Amino acid sequence: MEAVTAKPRAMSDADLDLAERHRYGDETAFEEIYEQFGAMVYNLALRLSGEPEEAADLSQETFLKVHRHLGGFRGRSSLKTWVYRVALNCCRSRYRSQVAWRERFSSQSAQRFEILADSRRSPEDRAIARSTTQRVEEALAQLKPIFREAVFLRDIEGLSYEEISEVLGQRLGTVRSRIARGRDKLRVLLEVSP
Amino acid sequence: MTAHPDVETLSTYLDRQLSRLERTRVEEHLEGCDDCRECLVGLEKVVGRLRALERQAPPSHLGAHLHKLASLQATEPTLMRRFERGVARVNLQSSIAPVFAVVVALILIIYLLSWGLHRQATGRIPVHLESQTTAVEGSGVESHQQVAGRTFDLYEGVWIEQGLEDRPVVEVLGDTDSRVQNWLAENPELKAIDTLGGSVRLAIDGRVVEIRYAVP
Repeated sequence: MEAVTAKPRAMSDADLDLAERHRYGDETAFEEIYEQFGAMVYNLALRLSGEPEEAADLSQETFLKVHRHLGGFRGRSSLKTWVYRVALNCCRSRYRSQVAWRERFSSQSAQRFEILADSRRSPEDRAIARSTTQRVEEALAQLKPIFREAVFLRDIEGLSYEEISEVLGQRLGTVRSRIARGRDKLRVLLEVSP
Repeated sequence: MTAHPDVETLSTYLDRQLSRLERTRVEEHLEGCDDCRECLVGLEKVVGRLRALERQAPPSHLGAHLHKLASLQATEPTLMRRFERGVARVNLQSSIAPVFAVVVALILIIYLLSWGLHRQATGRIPVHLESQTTAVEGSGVESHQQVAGRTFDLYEGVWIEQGLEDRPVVEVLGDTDSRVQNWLAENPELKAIDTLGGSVRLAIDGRVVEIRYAVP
């Protein structure tokens, strides 16, 4: 195996610039942060809460916290992983009970995800795709939150192992294990065969 | 054939996060193991399906709504802002401000005075000899020195305070005598007489006393 722990990432100049501008009252800095990370945070909240309304509410809570605390951001991690962490903490604090989380998610959410219309697809293709997506969403909903978070960050959001380690505050070994166990569980749930 | 790699190793292999050595080992194993190959392909398909999930766009009104809330939040009085505003409210031209300034000044003066008295009482302020003159020929006086406004003339190894030359010495005390120590504690400005050297004859409470300092 390679390195065991994630090395702290240096803040990029762009991150530094955004944080500084916000600190000195430049309102456009916050707008840029929302443009950059708005969809990312909304999708995280959507995957973890399962409901668009809830996701919008969690996104709002996340960005208000970002707005309030960005002045104290010292760049121990990248701005992206910092915003992710704030979002994840908002989601976690809202759903402390894992049982309630899973019940809520699996019973209501899977039907709510819709594939964006693709005019190039035929109605049959879209129906098949919708069915596949729904199955994946339902399977995701059955994962424990710790595995769902790791799989979401890696396979849907495309974060590196090091970034996931920063977001989750876990060692690289733990991140690897959670991703693998989450994927394996999904493999069984989706009855994926070669 | 090598031992089966676990799911974590296969998943990490899929992400190209294994070392070259481990990757080679896994690949050698996969060549001869259908089960592990099947597991790897299954994981690969899972990852493919997850990556195919569409990203949802946040509601269009969310951005504008957030900016409005953030602006309101920025104007909320935080503890620091309240303090700053409180400080800003103190108008130096108001009636309270001069009174406040006088009280602070008085406290400062009292503190400095008490500090000065304390320093004097503990004898940490050095009392310097004020002047020194050369001997006056023919008078018998070998030298003059002043300590705290009193002038002492040196006659044959004894420093005699001016005006006491003809008065009889009532008592001779050693410099370690408790009465001498008490008196010097009460009159710290005269503490420097010990720097004159030898014996010092002076008036203490109207009585002429000679203090004999031990030769160091």
